[in-house]
Amino acid sequence: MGRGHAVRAPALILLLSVLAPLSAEAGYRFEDGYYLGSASLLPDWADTLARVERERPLLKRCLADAGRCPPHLRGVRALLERIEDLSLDRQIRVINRYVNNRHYHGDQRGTVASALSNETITVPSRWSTLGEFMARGGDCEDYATSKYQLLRTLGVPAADLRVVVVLDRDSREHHAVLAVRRQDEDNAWLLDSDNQIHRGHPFSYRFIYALNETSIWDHELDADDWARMTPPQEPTEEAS
Amino acid sequence: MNKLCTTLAGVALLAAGSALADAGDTVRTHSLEVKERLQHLERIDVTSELPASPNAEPLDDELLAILEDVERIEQDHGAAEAR
Repeated sequence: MGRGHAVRAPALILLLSVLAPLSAEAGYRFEDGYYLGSASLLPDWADTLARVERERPLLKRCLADAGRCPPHLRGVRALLERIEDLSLDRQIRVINRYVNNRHYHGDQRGTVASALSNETITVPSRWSTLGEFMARGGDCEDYATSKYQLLRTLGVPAADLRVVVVLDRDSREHHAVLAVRRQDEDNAWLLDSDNQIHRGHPFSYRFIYALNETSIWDHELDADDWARMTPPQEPTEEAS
Repeated sequence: MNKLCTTLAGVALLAAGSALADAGDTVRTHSLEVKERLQHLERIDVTSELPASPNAEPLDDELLAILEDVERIEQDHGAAEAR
């Protein structure tokens, strides 16, 4: 009996020491990322934001007048009309499901001018606007950015939204989810393309970086890495 | 003479060491490191496809009815090509 305890106790301690860091892994928190700079520094994302701006008058006309709404945005109009008076929690749930029901299709590589050098670079994935996604579908980052744009249209501030790129340790692929900051909760909600809404840290996800229409944050560097760099100054007030 | 040669050799070694240190210990500016980090991020291929989860966020009847209504409108207007 005594010997059994002597053997089991170290094994238990070892097991707990392995499991404790995993279970203690926090969910996504807006405060945790390191500010890397303006959204314009990622050329493909900046290009997408420019196209979103160009698309905005079309969406505005569509929402104001059904007769001027192109077919691919009729569903968006109907959805926003029906959910504008719901609570934010319910708007988030229905938008997540609505966008996830769209057609998945893989990326096409594209070239954009790098904001960081004078070269033209090939980017492995293109990010879609809401209109582009509604017309032809898209893949995981397009699902996340479409949810982002729908919630922005409903009045959610940009400061409460981020597209978060994660490494899925199960599939070994990078994936994108939308994070929505909840004022009354420590962790953001993570809207996933498999219809889940995560309140904690999905076990297989490692957060890599996040962006919204103003900024980029790094989640992969540790404090030591970051201490060796002088970080750019994050603006105190984000655009909303 | 020997002392002079030794001294000169010592000075030459110190100078060479200093020059090599200048070349090898290049101080990397902070902005350059951020730039490198951004260049790494912009090359990440974000492309995962997930099947619907059995742990999907539940929707109540009102929300399901909204989705059905919107789907019907899209089909009526031929706007469901992306489904």
